[in-house]
Amino acid sequence: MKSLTARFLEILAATVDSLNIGLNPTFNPTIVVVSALILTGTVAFSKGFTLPVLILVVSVVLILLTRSPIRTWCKIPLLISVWATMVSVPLPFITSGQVITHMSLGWIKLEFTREGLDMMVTFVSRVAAAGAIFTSFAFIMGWRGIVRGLEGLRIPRELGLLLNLSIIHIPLFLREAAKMLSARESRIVRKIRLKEVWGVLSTVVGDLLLRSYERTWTLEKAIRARTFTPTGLSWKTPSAAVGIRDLLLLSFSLWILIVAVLGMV
Amino acid sequence: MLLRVENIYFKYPGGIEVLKGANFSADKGEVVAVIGPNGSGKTTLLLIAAGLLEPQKGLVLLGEKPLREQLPQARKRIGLVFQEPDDQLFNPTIYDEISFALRQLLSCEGEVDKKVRQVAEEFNLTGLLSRPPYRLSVGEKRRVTFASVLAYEPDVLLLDEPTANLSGKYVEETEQIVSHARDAGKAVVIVSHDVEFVAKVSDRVYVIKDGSVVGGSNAKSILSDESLLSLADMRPPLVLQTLRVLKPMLRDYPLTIKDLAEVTCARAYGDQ
Repeated sequence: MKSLTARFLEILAATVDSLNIGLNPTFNPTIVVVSALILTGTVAFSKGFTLPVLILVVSVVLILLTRSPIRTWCKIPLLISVWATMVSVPLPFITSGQVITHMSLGWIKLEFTREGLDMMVTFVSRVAAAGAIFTSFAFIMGWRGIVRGLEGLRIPRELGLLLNLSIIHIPLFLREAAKMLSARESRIVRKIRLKEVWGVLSTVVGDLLLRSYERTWTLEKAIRARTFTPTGLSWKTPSAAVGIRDLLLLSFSLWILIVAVLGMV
Repeated sequence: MLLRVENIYFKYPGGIEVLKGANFSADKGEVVAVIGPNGSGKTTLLLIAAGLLEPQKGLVLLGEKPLREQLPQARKRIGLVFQEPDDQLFNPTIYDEISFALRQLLSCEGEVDKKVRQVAEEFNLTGLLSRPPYRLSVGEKRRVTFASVLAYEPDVLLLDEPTANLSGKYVEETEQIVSHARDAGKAVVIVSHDVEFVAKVSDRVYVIKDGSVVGGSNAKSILSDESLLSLADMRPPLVLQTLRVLKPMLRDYPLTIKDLAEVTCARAYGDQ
């Protein structure tokens, strides 16, 4: 039976891999990336609840319209919300304002304030909405769509290549690490202590670093073998067509940005 | 000679000397094999021939001019197929993999698209164009490595262990690809320790041992020289091993199953 760590690595690889989908022809990747950046940025710096709630609704609508797996998608905003809640728990206790209730932990007296609670809820909703909208776009476009969108924004060609390499190699290396770990565990014939488990893990990390170095060395040769110009990789990414959906999405994003800047929501 | 590798000495930083005076040459329409045991420096020799490693001593000539002076433009004349497809394939999709070199050579995206689809059809990859290369089987990955290199029509084709980990069907495909490349006038250099494959496709063979070439001549005389092969820790082709049993009865030395059948038939008819 595989250990928890090996299983975790395999699941992580599958998760990263699941977003490595083909390019979605429904949307223009560049417009999607621009919209994602506008909406994520706007909601992350918004005030009040209206905009985060609106963006959350838009995220769900996008996922439903594109028939993406909503149950899988839900896990990410939920996880983000739990994390944000944990991080912001001290806020109601450290913010001064109208006291709702008192708490006593021995000699420590804590005051729970309405202003602190408001700040906490706003923070959690902003973080959850920002995570939700970006995840929706990532689900619709996949990693490759996002990279293609960034290439459309004229990021350096080398950076695009690097991001694509990461998309391919992160799951490969995670799986390799899981295999290495399983190979080591299969040779452990007695019950071992936690300290020894960490010893085994550290040998996997060392091996992984060596393999990464070797793979990088060969990969560099493979790229150079098919690079014919002294200036490197300089061609243009073929531009995708802009449809009515793209225009609607961009208009909506810009509208949200404008109303947020004007302080209307 | 289209490609000539002369007196190469190479040592990895902090490592042992991998190549000690290795040399080989290959001409248009010729398949040359460099055979030798694991760790004999075959892959390093191929990387040097492709201009990807700089030897400490020696010269690589492409079309009678030093390769070093022609880089990086000369790389479009050399196609290198790596032993491990995962090491060679670095693009997100097979389409991008095939078009990687073409986009540098062709100015119009329409031309690139047309060429990619033509090459994909040739290599039976049309239905796989949008898939990531690492999700394919080893045999399919091997096809993609050939397609991505042959798409830009290099004059020299360098193949590092092209049959490693391949099942019979894909080995046959590789044989056909090599034969087509020879017929198209390309110089093909294969490094391998698969003597069966080398016997089928190569015109000339060099034997490398501990970084030095210990023998080089036409395929038939090298692959039937058991003492030379054993010097390089290699076994002769299976047919030749079988032939040991039949040796007293035959006059010629076949290297392939087909040759053996012909010789045996000739012997049989001769007897009649």
